Amino acid sequence: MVEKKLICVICPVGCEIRASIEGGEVKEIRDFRCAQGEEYAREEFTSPSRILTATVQVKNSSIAQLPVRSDKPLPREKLEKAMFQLAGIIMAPPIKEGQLIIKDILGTGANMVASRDLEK
Amino acid sequence: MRTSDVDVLVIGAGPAGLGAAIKAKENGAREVLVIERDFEPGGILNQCIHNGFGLQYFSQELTGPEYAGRFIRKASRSDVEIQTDTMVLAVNPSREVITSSRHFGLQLFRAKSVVLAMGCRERTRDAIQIYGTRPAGILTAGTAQRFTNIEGFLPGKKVVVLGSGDIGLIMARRMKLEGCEVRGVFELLPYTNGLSRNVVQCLNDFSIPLYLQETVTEVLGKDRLEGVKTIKVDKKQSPLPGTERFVPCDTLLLSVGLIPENELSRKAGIKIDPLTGGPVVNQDRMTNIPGIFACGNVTQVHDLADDVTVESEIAGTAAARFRKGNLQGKELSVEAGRGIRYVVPQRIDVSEIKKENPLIFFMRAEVPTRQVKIIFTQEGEEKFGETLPFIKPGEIIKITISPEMLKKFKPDKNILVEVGKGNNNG
Repeated sequence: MVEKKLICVICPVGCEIRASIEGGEVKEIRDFRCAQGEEYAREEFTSPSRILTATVQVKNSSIAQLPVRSDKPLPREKLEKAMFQLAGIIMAPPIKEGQLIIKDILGTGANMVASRDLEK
Repeated sequence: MRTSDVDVLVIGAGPAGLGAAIKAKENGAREVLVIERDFEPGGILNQCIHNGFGLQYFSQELTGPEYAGRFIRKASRSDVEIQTDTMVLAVNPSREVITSSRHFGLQLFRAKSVVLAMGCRERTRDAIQIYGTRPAGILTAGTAQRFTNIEGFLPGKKVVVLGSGDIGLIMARRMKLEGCEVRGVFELLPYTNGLSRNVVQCLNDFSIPLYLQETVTEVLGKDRLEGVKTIKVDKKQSPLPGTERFVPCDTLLLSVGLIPENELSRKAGIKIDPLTGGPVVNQDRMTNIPGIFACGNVTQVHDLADDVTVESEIAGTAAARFRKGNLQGKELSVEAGRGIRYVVPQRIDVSEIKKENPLIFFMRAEVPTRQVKIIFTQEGEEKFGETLPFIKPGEIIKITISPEMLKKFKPDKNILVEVGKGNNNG
């Protein structure tokens, strides 16, 4: 049994929620003040995930870097690994917001897509 | 010099300016012109590539460029004209605006109403007077953000962040993801000025240490920054001898506050609130000069782009409807009292109290406090109160007063907004 705690980010109150975790499962959870907080904390304790935002190089354009994002959250521990996948990519305009950059990055099921339009 | 007449002239094509311009169009303004000094619209959102925008306004989590893109496309569909690469040189009280541009030279615009949406600037090393040499490697967090996210230059490898504002936290994560070593975020105050979400997702996620009540006292290095000296401080922000340490780094990012950009406003004779650093405005975001409005970070430094949009829509609507004849003239002042640093709007048109629209007040707390009641009083008598579970200076407080509740206010007495007595600091 492992004791873990986190700060809830659902609202500005910032509750410090605690839980007892065993074998990747929440056995007991306490010190939350609302149902949303409890749900957030359960997920955060067992499988935290985040949207990844970064940039890739872009040639023949008014800007040097194109902003990109994942269309779904990635497991938190894969964020840094995913950055290496983006490092070699070079795009060129025209680019449309939502255009695919990397499909199913690191087998997570999330795609990296462009997050802005870029005209020639 | 080219001279033209427009209905509404907006200065700045960031989220505030675009939001105001679109609303002005929707409310009947014929010619709406936005002046932008950058080469494209979008403002600072273009470099804010992280997510977290739009949760309130669009009920969807967007990145900065995506949030800006929605307004850029809508402005284009609504026939809002945007003139880029153009710098406003002066605004005068009779709503004439002089601009300079490579393509058009000097231009004079006569506007029926003007919306100021110039945003804000970051405080620099000079603003906080850090002692030491003048090596390369000391940047504001926003400058580093532009280099990294748009121009394609990483400003350094070993990074210290001073100040825990949102941009500092966001950049700590960004530099880490780009492979930098982030030595820590130092904050003079006993609490962060950023959103809790950013502390968790930018620092805790990447094990970046946050040193509260500890600040940078000196920078060292001749050509390039070699490190910073730090010291812990007590509650009164006085240095604690014996707690000095040297932190090696080649880059110092400053996230030490934002200042509304009001040089044009001041020159135009617009009254500035020393507490917000922005124009004193009424519920329509009109300044003391009739027909000149202000919204977004030029008025008050917001935490969320969504709130900027809300404010810009108020200003854009009012700018479109503005006619000299419909001014009421009689206004009450709204002042910040105990526990409250500032309130926007600072003035209310009396006739507004009788209308059917709710009024939204934005304010900031002076210190973090649990279980507080924010009260609106006139002559010491409580007219409205709202209890909040938690307030902190880093997160703006929004209080909406319904038309029904507004009727309880007297039309001839100033309003004081304060934290009710008997609250515990938390």
